[in-house]
Amino acid sequence: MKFPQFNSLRANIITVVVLASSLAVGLFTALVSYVNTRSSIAQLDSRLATLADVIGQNSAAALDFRDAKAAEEVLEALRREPPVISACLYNTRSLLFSEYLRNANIAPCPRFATIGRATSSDRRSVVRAIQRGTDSVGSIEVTADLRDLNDRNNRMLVVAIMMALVSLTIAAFSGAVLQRRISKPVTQLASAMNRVTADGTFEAQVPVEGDDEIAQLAGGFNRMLTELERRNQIARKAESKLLEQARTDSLTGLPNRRYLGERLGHELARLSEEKWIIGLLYIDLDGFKLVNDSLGHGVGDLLLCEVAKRLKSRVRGTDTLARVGGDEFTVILTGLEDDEDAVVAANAFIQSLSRSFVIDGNEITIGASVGITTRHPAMSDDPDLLKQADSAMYAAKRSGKNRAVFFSPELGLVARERLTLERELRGAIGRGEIYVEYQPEFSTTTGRIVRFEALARWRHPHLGNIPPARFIPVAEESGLIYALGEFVMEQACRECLEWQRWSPAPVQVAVNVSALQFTSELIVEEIETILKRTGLGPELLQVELTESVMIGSLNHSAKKMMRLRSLGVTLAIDDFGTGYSCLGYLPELPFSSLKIDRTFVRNLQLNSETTTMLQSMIDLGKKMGMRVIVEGIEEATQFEAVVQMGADEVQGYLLGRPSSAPRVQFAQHFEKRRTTITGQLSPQVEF
Amino acid sequence: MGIQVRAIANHAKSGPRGPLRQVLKAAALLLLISGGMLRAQEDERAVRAAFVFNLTKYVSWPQGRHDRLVLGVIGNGSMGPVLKQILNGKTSDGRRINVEVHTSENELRDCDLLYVEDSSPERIRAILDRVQSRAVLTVGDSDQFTRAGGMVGLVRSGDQIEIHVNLDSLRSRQLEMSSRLLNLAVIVSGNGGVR
Repeated sequence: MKFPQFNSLRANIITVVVLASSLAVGLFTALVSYVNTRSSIAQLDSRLATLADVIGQNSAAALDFRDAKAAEEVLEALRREPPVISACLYNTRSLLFSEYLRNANIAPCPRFATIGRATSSDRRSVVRAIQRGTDSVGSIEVTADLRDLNDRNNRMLVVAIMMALVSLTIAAFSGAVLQRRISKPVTQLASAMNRVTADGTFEAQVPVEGDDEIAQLAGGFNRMLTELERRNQIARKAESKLLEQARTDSLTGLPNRRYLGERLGHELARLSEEKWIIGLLYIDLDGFKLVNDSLGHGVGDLLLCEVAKRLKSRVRGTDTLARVGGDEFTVILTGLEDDEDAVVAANAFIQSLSRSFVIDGNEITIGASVGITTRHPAMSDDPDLLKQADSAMYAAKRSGKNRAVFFSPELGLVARERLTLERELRGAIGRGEIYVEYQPEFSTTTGRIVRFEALARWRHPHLGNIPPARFIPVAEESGLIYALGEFVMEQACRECLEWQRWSPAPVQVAVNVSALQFTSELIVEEIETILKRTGLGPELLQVELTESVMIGSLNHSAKKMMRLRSLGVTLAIDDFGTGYSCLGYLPELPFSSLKIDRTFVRNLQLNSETTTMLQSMIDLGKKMGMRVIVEGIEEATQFEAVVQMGADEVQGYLLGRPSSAPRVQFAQHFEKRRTTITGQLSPQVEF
Repeated sequence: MGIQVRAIANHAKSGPRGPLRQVLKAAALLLLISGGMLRAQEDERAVRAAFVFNLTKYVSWPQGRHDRLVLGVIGNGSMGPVLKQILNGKTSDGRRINVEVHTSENELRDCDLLYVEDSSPERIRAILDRVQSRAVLTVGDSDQFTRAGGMVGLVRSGDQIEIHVNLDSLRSRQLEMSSRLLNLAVIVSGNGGVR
């Protein structure tokens, strides 16, 4: 038999059985032996009484007639009664008349009959009166030895105890059998629970036998497991759904950028074991923005789904197609033999999208620009494949769209940066990252500030201050220039209005309008609206245009200029001498000022040709009746030279840096002017 | 009484446990011994009287009075007054004992028990002849008495008094004697010789 743990259910059951049995058997044994002892003593007593009576009766005559010998003979009959060890016969006067002693070791009888002789554990005495008719003729005391009786009783007790031990052993064994019926299901239950805990599955079931309480418990346990399993399945489903949602694009059902990153990392890790090449394609749709803008987002979304379908039909099972942005898709190609395979695949994708789509009855034609990059197992460096493919895609866009371009390191990071800037610039005005700085322009005759030039500035939270030379082309390219120009012009007009309160003489604001901006049909109306809205007098606004406005339809531009002039707005040619200068048409255009590009001033000291050229340009402007403004003055010698040459107005870091809070500078300026106002300009003192 | 004295003397050696009890017992012992010696003669008569009294209890009479028992005494000894002193008026099994002392066999009236004291065989026979036809328990004090046809003899034998019984005489008068007594008795038959 296997011994269970001390505190286990089995042990407890066996203990209970054994304890109960031993209690019952023990009590029974004690009772039986007690009753046996009592009854054997009572039996002895009655036997002794009978003997005493018989002997007494037989001794009566001997007592009457004082025949001691006869009495002794009668008493001698007791020798046939082994337990009787002594008998004492007393006469009517309680004097000892005759005695019987079984052997010499027995204590003799007292000479007088005593009442209530001390009884000991191994003696038992009975005293009886001897009657003859109604007369008492004496008394007899018969004493028996209890040792035999006690020995017999002890032997019986030993037998009873042995029987008890036997029955206890039987009880222990039957308890062990009984407990198995009780504890076996419990043990099964416990081991099922252990399985559940160990495996973490709720599929384990407990065998149910019978219909007792333990079976009910097992049934309940099974139901609980089933319920837990059900809930667990629901939880697992929800979990996998969440996981899927986190990995997929909700619109097309394709893997998203996050999952693509995981897959790409996985494939790259696998690459070290494989001999093949991994290709990565970055697909960007051409003209999708146009679809979205003209037909709405609903159609755009449907189009994206259709595109996803077509692309999906082209990918192999081992490839991964993902949607990584608005109209951007990526494909990981595995198992390629060479770079050419990737190009073939890219062209196949372009081909698949070239057929027109029909969405909501609209026939839509789009293209796709695809950037390609590959990764060979032998490559030791760890390039960002996604970035490479993205750059290549951008190069494809730049080189005419609807084509695939294979990545090469030369492919412009600049181009990439432009795209980043464009992306960032889109929300820059809304986020308040665009602000305006104002750089003063001075009259060389009075020394006064005649105007401030408004300059757009972009302070990006991460990229820092981005110079206009970088973001203005991006704005022009992306069409953001319209919004940007409008914002700057309105800001400038409001600011200019403020200045008039400080300045004794009117101070203009000069706002640059790009050529692209000026091509807009509505530019004049827009400027007019801004003027009305801000309440600035048109004569205080100077619109500065570059020479490039004259490219294309000069007639068109001239008309707009004339209308601006008629409003009262002054016009200036900006960056004169750098671009496409068509001097022939210059007289026909209503410019009131000519702003000579800073490169001429910068090169002033380098050679005399520049001096001559600058002088000639100043002369030309003045002769054409325009005020000549020279910008980019950074040194005192430049300033002196330009004044000498006859420039009407000057601008530069030497004279005044651009500031977002010109009013303070402005106030200081006039404060100083008031005290030292002279005809002679002295920049060292004044500025 | 000599019997008892001896018995007590025997047991004095190994008797009482407490010292005080021992002293008391010893004192009582001395008293009894001295008294017993002085009055030995008188005591034998008293024992005989007690034996007579006890005899009435072991013998059943065939018929007659159930309320009294007439005890007649005849002979030339001193037993008459002793018996009268000790037994007269006592009851045995509900029968009142009436002791009548006779001086001659002619005075013998109908009695239930006749004690014949120390008489010559001729006188004994004469007395027995007087009561021959009635159920009278005759008691004597010698072995000659039973041999002469008396029923019970209380015979001195050393220290003891033996009981001699003539069963033939008893039965001829329809007197029944308890077997317990017969167990103690020396049975005598006919007119002489121990059986």
